[in-house]
Amino acid sequence: MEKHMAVCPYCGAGCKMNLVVENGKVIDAEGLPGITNEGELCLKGLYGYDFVNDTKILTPRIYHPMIRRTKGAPLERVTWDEALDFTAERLRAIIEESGPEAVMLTGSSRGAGNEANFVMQKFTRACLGTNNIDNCARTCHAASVIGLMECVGSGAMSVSIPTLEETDCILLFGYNPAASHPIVARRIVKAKERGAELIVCDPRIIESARIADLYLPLKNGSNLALLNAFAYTIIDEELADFDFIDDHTTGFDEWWEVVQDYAPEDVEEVTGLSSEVIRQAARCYATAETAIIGWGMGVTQQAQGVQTVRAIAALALITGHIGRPNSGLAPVRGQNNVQGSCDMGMWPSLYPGYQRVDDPAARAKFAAAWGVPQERLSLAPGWKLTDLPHGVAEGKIRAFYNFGEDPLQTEPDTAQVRAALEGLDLLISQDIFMTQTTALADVVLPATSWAEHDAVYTASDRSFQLTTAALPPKGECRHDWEIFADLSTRMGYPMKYQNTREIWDEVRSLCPQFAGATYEKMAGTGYAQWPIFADAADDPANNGTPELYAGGAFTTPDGKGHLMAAHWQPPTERPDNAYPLVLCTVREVGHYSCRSMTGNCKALAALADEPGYVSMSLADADARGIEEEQLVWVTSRRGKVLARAAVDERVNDGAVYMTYQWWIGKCNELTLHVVDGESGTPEDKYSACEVELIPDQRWAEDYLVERYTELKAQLAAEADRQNPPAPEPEPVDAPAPEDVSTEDAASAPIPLAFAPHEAEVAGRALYADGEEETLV
Amino acid sequence: MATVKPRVPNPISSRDRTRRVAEGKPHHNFSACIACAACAVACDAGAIRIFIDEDEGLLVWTLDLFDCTQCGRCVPVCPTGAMTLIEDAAFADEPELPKRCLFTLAECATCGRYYATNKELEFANTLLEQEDHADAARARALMSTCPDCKRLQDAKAAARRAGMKHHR
Amino acid sequence: MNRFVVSDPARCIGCGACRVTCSESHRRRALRPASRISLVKTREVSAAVTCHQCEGSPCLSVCPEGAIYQERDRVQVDEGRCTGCLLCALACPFGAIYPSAPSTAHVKAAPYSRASSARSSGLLRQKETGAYTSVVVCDLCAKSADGPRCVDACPTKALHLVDEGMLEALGKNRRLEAIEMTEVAMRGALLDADDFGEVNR
Repeated sequence: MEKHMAVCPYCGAGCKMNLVVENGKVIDAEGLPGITNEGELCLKGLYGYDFVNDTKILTPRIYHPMIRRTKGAPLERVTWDEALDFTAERLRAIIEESGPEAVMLTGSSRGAGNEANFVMQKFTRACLGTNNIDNCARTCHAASVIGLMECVGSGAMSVSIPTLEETDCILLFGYNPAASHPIVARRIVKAKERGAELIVCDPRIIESARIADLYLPLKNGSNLALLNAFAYTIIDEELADFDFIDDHTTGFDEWWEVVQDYAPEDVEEVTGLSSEVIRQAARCYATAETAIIGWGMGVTQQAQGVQTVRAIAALALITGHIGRPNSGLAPVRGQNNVQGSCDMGMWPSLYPGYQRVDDPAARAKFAAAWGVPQERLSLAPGWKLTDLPHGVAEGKIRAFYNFGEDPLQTEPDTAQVRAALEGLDLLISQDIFMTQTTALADVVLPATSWAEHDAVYTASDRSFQLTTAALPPKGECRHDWEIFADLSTRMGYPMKYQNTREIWDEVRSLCPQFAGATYEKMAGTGYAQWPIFADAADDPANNGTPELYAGGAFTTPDGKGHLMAAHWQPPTERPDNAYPLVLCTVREVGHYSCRSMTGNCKALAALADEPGYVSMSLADADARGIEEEQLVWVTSRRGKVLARAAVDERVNDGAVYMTYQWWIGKCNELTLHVVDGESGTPEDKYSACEVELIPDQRWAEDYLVERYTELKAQLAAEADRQNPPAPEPEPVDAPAPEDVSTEDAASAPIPLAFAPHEAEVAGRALYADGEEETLV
Repeated sequence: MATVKPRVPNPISSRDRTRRVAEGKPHHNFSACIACAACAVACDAGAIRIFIDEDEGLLVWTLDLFDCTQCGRCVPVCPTGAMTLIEDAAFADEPELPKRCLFTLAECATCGRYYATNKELEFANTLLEQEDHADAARARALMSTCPDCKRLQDAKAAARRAGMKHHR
Repeated sequence: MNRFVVSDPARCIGCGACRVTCSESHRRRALRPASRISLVKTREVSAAVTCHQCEGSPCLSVCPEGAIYQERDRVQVDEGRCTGCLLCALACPFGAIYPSAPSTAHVKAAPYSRASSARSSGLLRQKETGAYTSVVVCDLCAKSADGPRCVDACPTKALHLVDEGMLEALGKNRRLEAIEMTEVAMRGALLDADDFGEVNR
């Protein structure tokens, strides 16, 4: 038995852990005293390790490269040489015909790590010659990145996760830490015990609302109106820090021009809250000695996401609750390395270290470091991930390199995403699992999983931490960075790295903000929080910067905080007679992202499985004759999915909530692909839907079982193409073995692993006749 | 009412279910049965089944000898001795209609949902009456509440201990 | 005085780490994998609830098989001996005894019956599907040298191992609870109907 230090791959908290390995398998996980988790792990950390062992509970891992020689041909196992030559040739052909802008890439914000992402964007920019690279932050915190960069200078959390425990007031807005970051929720519970005030704004009674001092159940889609009313109250009641506003901000007058229309008394109708509770919350936040605002997808996955983030930043700026110890802004990241993807320049307008692609000086620096002529690096920002569907439809994007993501599960309006992926000339998928997206790919490149490589992850609060390999690569899997470097070399831009440390040292040399984050500093449970400059490298006591903007020194071009305001606008698709309910997508505590990892973990799969729940209020359920646990159809203008009803007294009337991990209850079939104009983040938190009871529950249960079995079998069959055909029994009268094996894999009868209990099938018939006995 | 057994283990414990116990045709004594469903759990052949009729507030216990394999496992698991064996009975010669017994269901005093048959509650109460410990008395007092509601009460008690405000 | 696990709803974040840990730690020790803990969630409360290890053990008193026994101040179930008659589950004053299938795989093979609706409690519906062969109850992780695993796993440290005496000291409104308990005993009713609505899946 051996233990290997790792960083948990399941959320932005960045918990340190040990993986216990025996006989080549990960058999347990235990918490280590990292800066954020202090030895604790949540259920995903504790039981989310066995996907590494290829449990095949949900979908198999891929161990060998595969290609489709022509569009629509079956996947075929090939050697690495053949797969990469094929890819290079196809990419080269597309670039020759349509230019590098016809190729789009997405980085992986998950287990791959910073080094792999850095090498991928270097390949994109220096080899392909485009800035068409993005990452899944687009679908989550892009609004925060954009809004905060304008207002205060950096898109990251200005405070550290541990400081949540030290502050006097926590304002949670559209953020459910108990479901998305239990280890952050732990800090909030501790802050509350210390005596901190807790204000929670959320339409649902989330766990934090239960223990809040002030709970504001605002109406879905009224964020900006409420935040503007907070700001109005703070100015109106003269609770603002006017010295701070004078010294460190600009734009107050224009800002007030908008905000003055939002007296709490005037937004009662829109927010559904009494003016008194709004004023009380604003007072509580403004008068606290120190205060932190935490927010999540409830803020960003809205049509006005960026404007809402600016309104949050404005609250901190007018009260001076920023740039001081234990005060600041906390957009807590969902995926474990989504902060890292942004750090590494997986962003169509940014180089690594937040250096702009349209800045000629930055271009000159990167061109020199990478040994390419300056013209090679494009000054034009590239496509956003959410541009993919229409980019493909208009013929502007022809090839898509998908790195460790499953857009068919995670992006809004699945039908549209599927059409886009099918409309590509070349889809490359580099992944560890046979996901729905990988099953469509023309090139499948098997990579090492989280437990099989070294990497640096960036936690949500800008802390770099080191994760190490617990196991050697399986099958023919290669490290992500090796694959990119090899492909780049084949396409005429040679890259050679021996290990991740070499790559990381290149990152440090190019990004002054990261320069002090050496591997040595991150050894064991060590960490390095950016900005961490070169001088910190040799100072063991210097772990970087826990709080940004000390003393009001913002990192905007003029060094000031920018006050920006916008008027509230109603959400795009409002409920009507046909679709009277608001659909809001939320998080499942025991599953992560597209579920390819957690769905393959025994304990987590047993905890929650298909088809997922649609949570609705008692009144809405009653009105539709729906009872707890019944199967229902959820419909919208985009589609119709099956889900199980959870009648939940914590849910507000008029809204339903679904988690997005499920294949059968896939809420992204329903969501609206309307994006925030500035960030491209989809409005996942608000679309219109209807829920109806399925009259024949027995049929629905059977359908669910059959459909789920079928979907799993399909992916298993695709993955099975990587395995060599069974050894031929030889002799004369054996049927042509090769054909049979592939045919069998695809069309083999699907075992009904989830067959209904026989008592149910036979039972009702039996009940119909028979002998009666006395009634007791 | 079924005679209450003293608190001694059944001579043929379910531990022995793996080896073949005495075989034969099962006989069901309706008046001794409390519809606890242990026989249905033990019956691998699916000859004994349980259905809930919510419209009538009944639990329906059924035995279909057509499906019975005479394994005899339903006998030792019965807590009241309602199941017995008729040894050497000639099965095929004696086709029988499925037997069907009805038991009224008890509604939870708190939430009003059905949660057990009245007979099994009565049986459990009688057993508890033999104990004079305060915990047994508490258990009897709470017998009219379903397990779901008891858990809810336990959670609310925990909230009161934690000094949490009880708004609404 | 017997000790047992209680949770602090002011700390509980309803994440279910205790339930998964309970299930996994028993499964790894070749015991039934069903969780011995329920998560109760209402508008005001989130709490993990489990066996109180009553000294008078009503569950033991009603067991016709002698499958429930007390050892080292904790209740344990002889899973091979239990017949699944569920009398203990009805007698338990805390609703903390659960029917369990031999493995989680088996539970999957027999999906929850929806033949009867929410008008029946979970226990009754499980009788209809018959997807269990034994009960399980919190044994304070008798087979683990490190004590109850859920207490360690809880990320907010909401679970504690206490005895009745400590609970007495903890209880700020203990008397209120006692009064309510007596009321139950007398009337058999305690809560207003609309207070019901907790779900534990």
